[in-house]
Amino acid sequence: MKGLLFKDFLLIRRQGKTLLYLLVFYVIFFFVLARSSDKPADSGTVAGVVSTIAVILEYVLILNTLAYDENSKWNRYALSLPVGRNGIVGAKYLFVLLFSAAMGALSLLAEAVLLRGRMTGTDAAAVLGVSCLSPLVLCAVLLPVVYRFGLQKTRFVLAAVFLIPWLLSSALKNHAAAVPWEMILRFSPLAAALLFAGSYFLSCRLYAGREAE
Amino acid sequence: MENLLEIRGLCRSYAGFSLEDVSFSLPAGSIMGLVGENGAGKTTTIRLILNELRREGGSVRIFGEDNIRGEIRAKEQIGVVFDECCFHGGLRAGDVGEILRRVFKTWDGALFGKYRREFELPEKKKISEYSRGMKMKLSIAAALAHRPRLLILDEATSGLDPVARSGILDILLDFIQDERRGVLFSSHITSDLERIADFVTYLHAGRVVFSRPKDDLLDRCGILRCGASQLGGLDKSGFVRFLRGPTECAALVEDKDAARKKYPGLVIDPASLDEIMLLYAKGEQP
Amino acid sequence: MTGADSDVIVYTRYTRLCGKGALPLDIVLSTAGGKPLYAQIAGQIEDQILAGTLAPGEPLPSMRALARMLRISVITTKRAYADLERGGFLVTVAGKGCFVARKSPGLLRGERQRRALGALRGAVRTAKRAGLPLEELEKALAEIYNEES
Repeated sequence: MKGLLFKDFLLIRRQGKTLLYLLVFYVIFFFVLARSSDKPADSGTVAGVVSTIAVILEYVLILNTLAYDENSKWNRYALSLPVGRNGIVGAKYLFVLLFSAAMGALSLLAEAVLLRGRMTGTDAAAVLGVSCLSPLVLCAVLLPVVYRFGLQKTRFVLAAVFLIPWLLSSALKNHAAAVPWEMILRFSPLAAALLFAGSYFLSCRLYAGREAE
Repeated sequence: MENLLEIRGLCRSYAGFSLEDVSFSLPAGSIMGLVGENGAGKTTTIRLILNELRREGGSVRIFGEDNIRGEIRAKEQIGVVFDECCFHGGLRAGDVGEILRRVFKTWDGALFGKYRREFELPEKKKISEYSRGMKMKLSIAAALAHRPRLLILDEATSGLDPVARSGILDILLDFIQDERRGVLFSSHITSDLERIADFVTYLHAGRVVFSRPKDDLLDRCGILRCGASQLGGLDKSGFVRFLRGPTECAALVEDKDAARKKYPGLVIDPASLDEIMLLYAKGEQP
Repeated sequence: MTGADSDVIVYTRYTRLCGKGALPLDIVLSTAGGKPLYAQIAGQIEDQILAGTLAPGEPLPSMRALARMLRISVITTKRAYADLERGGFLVTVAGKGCFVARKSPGLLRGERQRRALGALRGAVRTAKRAGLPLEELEKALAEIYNEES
């Protein structure tokens, strides 16, 4: 399992450079934009921007690793390795977990830099929470589908998984005060963790029943 | 001498194809060629051995143990080479070594490096820029560097030129110098197997037609040729299969020396693996 | 259907054993003649032993090493060595390998005579099939004997 984990991080590193440039560009862009406006950079807005970029990055990078696996026939090769189907699934889930944690830390750092330390506790928690937990939730839903149907067949599900949270947040924007943010923040890590763990067991089950391409 | 691989009554069916009652054994220290036309079931058999596909009947024992119960243990000692290179194009040769080092307990980094230099695989180039032959050599290096006992090749030489194929045959011959190892080599390029295989298992339409020592097969079998008009008058009881052509007919005989005595006037040539397969596939039974 | 004459590509393999202390071992294989590979190997090694090129007590490559050098199946070399051992030309010493058997010159001569008579028997059979009478055969024998020097 260690080897597969290493492989995913290696792939991220290989493509991460390009995306890091993108990230830096976005950050600079928003920074300049904020500077040029009259209003001072609202802590909340910055948090939102950083979180959005983080989530987009995570989503793209994780999906890329899945796509690489399928395109290069790696999945078939992995089944010939002394890892086992559960090991293959476990490595992917572990990768998402570790990657999310890393991105969470990075996002927090980015936010701190952008706000030059003037960060509220809630904002920090929000950024950390969103960039850490979003991939967990997204993958908890996505991975079982991928392990059951393969990446090619699940394109529309990919779009849905990304669009739904965005639509949800758009719909809730006007009722932001009514949403119990504190409670959500407090319970979301546990909920995400449970969802993620449950998803792992489901994926193992589904992958065990799936024949190789 | 133990059998590295023991397959008994293997069965598996899916849409439009079924593998039935496949049985053969690979003794240690030998190279077995798995031959058959495209779609005969060679890749399905290998998938069943590796438990990529679940079998519906029969048994598969690797190193004496059931292939499902001892799956992880067995795969530590199996090296597999597929017809395509399975590594991500963005990686480099060294990356593959680093990944597999963390996968196999018996990975030998120095050996991998030795193969890399021997095969002249560049360090800095991405795998996506490799030629087909280089990709295959990388796959082989990756399969050999953890010192497996069983090497399985699934159509690994299909896209290579004769020089590259010859190089791979040499690698297999070197591999088998250790008597505890074995090679299962699935291919439809019969000339490679005619040279170095110790045993040949021929699959046709999902069934094993024969599984026997290659020397025995090629030394004994013969192709009898006669004119189209002569066929009617011949005693066909000794024929394994025969094929009617417009001007000439050919028949596969199990014992060509005996056939020469039985049909003194006729041409009886040694049979090549291709001709044997062709007659089994297209010929009639007497 | 293609006939055998379209692919008479005489495939030959020349092999020399260059090991520590071992004399060169020449084996040339052909896949066109129809003679099985194991018979060719056994025959050529036998010839070299009878000719004295391979001295008694000399080490021979292991079956596996020979198969590697000739790029053929190890079952083939195994059979060749088995034939040689049965014929008394080769001995296997457990743990050490295969060696040319030590034979007295008398036994060797007897071996050669046996082979000559065997070849003669074959010639007589062929001659009879061709309808050659005994006197003509004797005349031909004398001629050929004097030709070959």
